[in-house]
Amino acid sequence: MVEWTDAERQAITTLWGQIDVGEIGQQALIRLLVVYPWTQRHFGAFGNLSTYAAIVGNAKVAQHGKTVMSGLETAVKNMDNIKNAYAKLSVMHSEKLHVDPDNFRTLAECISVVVAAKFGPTVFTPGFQEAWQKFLAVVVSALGRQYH
Amino acid sequence: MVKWTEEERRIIRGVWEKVDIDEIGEELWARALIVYPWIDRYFGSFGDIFTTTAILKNPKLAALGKVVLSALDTAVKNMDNFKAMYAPLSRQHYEKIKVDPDNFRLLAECITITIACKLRAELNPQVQATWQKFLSAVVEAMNSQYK
Repeated sequence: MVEWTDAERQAITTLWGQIDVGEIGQQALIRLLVVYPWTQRHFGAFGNLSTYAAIVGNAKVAQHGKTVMSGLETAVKNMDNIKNAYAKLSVMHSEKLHVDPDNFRTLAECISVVVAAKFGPTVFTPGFQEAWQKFLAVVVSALGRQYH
Repeated sequence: MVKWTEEERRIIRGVWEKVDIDEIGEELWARALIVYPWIDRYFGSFGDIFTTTAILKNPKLAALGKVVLSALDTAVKNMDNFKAMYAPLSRQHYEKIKVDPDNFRLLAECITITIACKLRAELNPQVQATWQKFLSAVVEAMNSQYK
């Protein structure tokens, strides 16, 4: 069972309150596809991802980024039960989407870089970074949990 | 050795120009020690390194931050052959300091986050991709003398 300090809970709710899921989600997914190009294999139905400009301008990438980032709301609202809250989503990613669970960690890294770039050092302090990365690590673990 | 395009070289130099070695050197240790607290096992003789405030005031960490970023400066200025130049540093970390090499990757992540906070929107996806390619090459060079 994950333990959260009051400071960590406060950091997560403060950051989440300032995050625009459309903006951050799109940026995070763009970075995943650009920095780790093999991840493009999961998005065959998204149309043109063949150049940097194509990825940045791709409406399906923007929409899916928003969907994924919005999915974090479940974790924010269920911080003491993230594992169970994500059980169905984990099964789906394993059995239907066949996503290598290592990609969850990679996407989490991209989200953190985007959040750092958006908020800068006075908001994304070392303490906030610790809470945020711990939060994402718990989500990543929950998403990988139903894989056989 | 890793191959670099002219564009990638330009991007790395552009990022590095904006790095203040003193400022980034301190912040990066604050992030590494707070986000990955087990790293403090390497700093037994450094005094108080257990809160952000203490870390940012710690002169030994400030000095070490400068040392780490000066080594990165060497890599920026020798992008085509820093792997060989890093061999003695890698050997030192392996034989004398006995650093778990996974920590090089974690420190690289903290450097990227620190630079993201500093550069903000200038660390766009393409710049991020090039910068992380560079840091991966540095991490590989640090790993090179580990058995």
